[in-house]
Amino acid sequence: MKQFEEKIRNLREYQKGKYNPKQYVSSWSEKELIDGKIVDAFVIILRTRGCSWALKSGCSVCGYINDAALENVSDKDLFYQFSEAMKKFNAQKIVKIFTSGSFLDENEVSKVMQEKICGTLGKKTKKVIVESRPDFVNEEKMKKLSHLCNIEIAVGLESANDNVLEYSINKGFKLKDYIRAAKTVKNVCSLKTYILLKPPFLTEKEGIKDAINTVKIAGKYSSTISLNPVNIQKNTFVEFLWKRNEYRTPWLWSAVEVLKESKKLTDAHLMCSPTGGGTRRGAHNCLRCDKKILSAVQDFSLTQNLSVFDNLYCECKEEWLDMLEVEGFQC
Amino acid sequence: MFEIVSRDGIGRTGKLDNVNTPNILFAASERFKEFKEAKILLSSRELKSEKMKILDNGSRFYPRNLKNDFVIPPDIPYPLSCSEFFENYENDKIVVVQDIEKLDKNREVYVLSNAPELVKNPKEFVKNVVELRKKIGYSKIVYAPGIGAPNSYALLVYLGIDLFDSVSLIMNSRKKYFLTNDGKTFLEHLKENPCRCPACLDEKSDFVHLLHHNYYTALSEFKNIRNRIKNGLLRELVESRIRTEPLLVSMLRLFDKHYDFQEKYFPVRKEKMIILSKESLLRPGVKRFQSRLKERYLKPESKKILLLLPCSAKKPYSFSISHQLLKKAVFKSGNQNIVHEMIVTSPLGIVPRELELFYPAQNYDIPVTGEWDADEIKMVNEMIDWLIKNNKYDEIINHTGYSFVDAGVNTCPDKPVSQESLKKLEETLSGLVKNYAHVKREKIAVENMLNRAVFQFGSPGVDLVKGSVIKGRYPDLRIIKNNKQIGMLIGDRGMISLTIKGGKILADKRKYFVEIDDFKLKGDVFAVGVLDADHDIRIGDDVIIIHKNVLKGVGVAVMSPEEMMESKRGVAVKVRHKT
Repeated sequence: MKQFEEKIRNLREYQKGKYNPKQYVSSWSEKELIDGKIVDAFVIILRTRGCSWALKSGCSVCGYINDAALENVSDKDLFYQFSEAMKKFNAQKIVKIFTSGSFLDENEVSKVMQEKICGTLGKKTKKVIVESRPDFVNEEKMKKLSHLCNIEIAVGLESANDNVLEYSINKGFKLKDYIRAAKTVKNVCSLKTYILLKPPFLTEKEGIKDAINTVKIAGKYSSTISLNPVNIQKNTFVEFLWKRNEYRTPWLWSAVEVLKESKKLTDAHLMCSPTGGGTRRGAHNCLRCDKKILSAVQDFSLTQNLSVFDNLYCECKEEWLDMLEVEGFQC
Repeated sequence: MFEIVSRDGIGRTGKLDNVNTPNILFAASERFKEFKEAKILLSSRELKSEKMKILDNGSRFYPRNLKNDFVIPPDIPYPLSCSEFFENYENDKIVVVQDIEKLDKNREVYVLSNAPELVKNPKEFVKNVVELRKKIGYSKIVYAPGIGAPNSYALLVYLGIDLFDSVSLIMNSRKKYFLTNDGKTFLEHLKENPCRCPACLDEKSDFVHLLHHNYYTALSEFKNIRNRIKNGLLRELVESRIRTEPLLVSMLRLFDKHYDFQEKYFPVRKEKMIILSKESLLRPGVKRFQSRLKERYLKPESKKILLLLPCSAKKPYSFSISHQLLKKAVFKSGNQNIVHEMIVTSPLGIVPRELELFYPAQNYDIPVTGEWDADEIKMVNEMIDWLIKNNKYDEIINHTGYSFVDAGVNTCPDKPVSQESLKKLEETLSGLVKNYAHVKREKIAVENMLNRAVFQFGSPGVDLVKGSVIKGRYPDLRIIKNNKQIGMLIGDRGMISLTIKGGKILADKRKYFVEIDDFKLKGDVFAVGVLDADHDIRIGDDVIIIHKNVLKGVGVAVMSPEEMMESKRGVAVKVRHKT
């Protein structure tokens, strides 16, 4: 929808020259699973020109373009960023190389650099995870990179409902585009899929339904599914709504519900690590019980054990349950 | 099918498939069991209940395909900040309204989207409700989901909303609010439960009991509202209910600014008008009396001396003891018929003696303390200024006793009806009236009647009364021309009721007409038979019924002209005489 694309674009600040192209965005270490075992993973966010789609318009919930250089970053500068970040590398079993866009997009990371980074990491770590929009996935590229390292591709599907993709997220592609890419990836290496919880204009209940429905489809291709409750990032369309009290981030109860229901539908590894969880900008409940719920969600993500959700209760659950039944009556 | 039963301005009662409106849709779901007192149920699934149901078919993201008489079509619930994406979502009966401009007129129920967001901004809310009603017309149903509480329903109905739902009651209950007609209180702050509804009799304070209390309170307020509409006292209820929340007061004040839009729906006559607050000064019935004076009024020709008088609590004024004393003083001056008695009053400003019977002059009741506030003083002086500028009086005498009226010679050394004041009035008048030829009672009776007729019918009133004689005893007076009665002023009604003879005079002028199709009048005129109607007609007006300029009868309008033309149901004119 043209007007929607425009509105999202107009909310962004495309200010070039804000960042030093030699400086990577950030890096950190976190827990991750490999072959069912909890290990440390090293995460590097490289600064590239930014997501090709976000440069045109972008997703209604995504503000990662805020970290992008917005102009081409030379191979030399990019490799400098990578090398600088790798100084903190501490032999973690997994390295995640993110760009706030698509690692496989040659406009962000040139073919030479993709191969150089994968080649370097192939020798240093057990598994490399990179992200990409479906458009940049092709068999030849996948094969090449998987020879260089044990690579996993993470793709954000967000929703398997084309209306949600178009009218709520402005994702810029359709389910069929994801499926094509997912099949390609699956033939070569493992696939991780990101699913969004409660994009704008959906009720809490529809948000839950949408996420579960998406797990059902993405689960056929993915070895891991990451559930991402919407959080309010700067200069995004959801932030615009949120500031006007026209959008509430999902309840943590909803995340729990999706995880519980999804586990019955897929063998993929389910995880959820809500960005800004327990704050007003992130998924939250009444802000009193949030810690308890977040910790259960984290436990589940590592153990896949549904029993961590047993006996979770807070008075605010009643309000959430009410909401599920009556929110849809509002027009 | 919706039929309007009784009207009180934009607010009305009606029947929607045998359910009384205004009313409330009760959500029925897994957690919220069907409330036994509910008349309409709202659900997102099939229900077995025999009651009237409105089913919700979800959104365009996850549409449902429920089948029912009334189904809310799937929408994308764009909030107000996304107005550029607005569209309307409709099936053959119901429209979810986002884009008022683009609405189609031929549906039955219009669902106001974003009502909870709009209602927080009284200006936007009022604007949207007015625009919507302008667009869809009077006889359509407006449903505002997610808003309202027992203290605001009266106002919202007054603004023209017919249907509400229980969602706001549920959310208030979850926040532990105990709702009453005068607002909300946290349940735990209630030392004593003041309510005796079936839920409160149990003396329990859990969620379900609180919810049911709120349900009962809401339903009981709707009964109240419907009664008030039938009795023509909705405005009075509104003015008392809004005292409980500043936002509601703002909303009414903002709505009153849309006078031109709403005035046409307000009857020209009601039994009572109770003035309760500052807002009462701006109610359509008050404002119309003032505008009609400005549009239609000139003093009777023979009146030369303007006498400003105070009002009286008893109505009509001339039946009060004080006015009988004042009239006696005027009579004793020796030429009373050249003296124009003008009652100075709040909220109407001025009431010429000959119009003292016309609504609301004989119907209003206002708290009197002798103190006048700035708004009242300003309004009264504006009306007096207007009168003096637009009518030529030789002399002005101020016998109001109000210190803020500075027009004319003051004849009140103390209270207007003290011996001394009355004497001074009589003496002052005697000195003035002797300069004028005597004017006969018969002549002034015609002039007075002419003014009433013009106030009621506009300029054709002149043709109605010109050349007639007035018979009878005030306030019931007959207008006779060539030994035939043209019409009769009936004291209680304060208006002229036409005979067929009178109707013919109006028919020649094509005023206050209701044009019907070519059929023989049997009983009343139904809206379905109305082809055209004069835009000046108001509910309660005497109207003529014509077909191609041939008079068929006379009667009283039951609907606004707009409703007569657009509605397919109900009586449009109560017929008094047929040709």
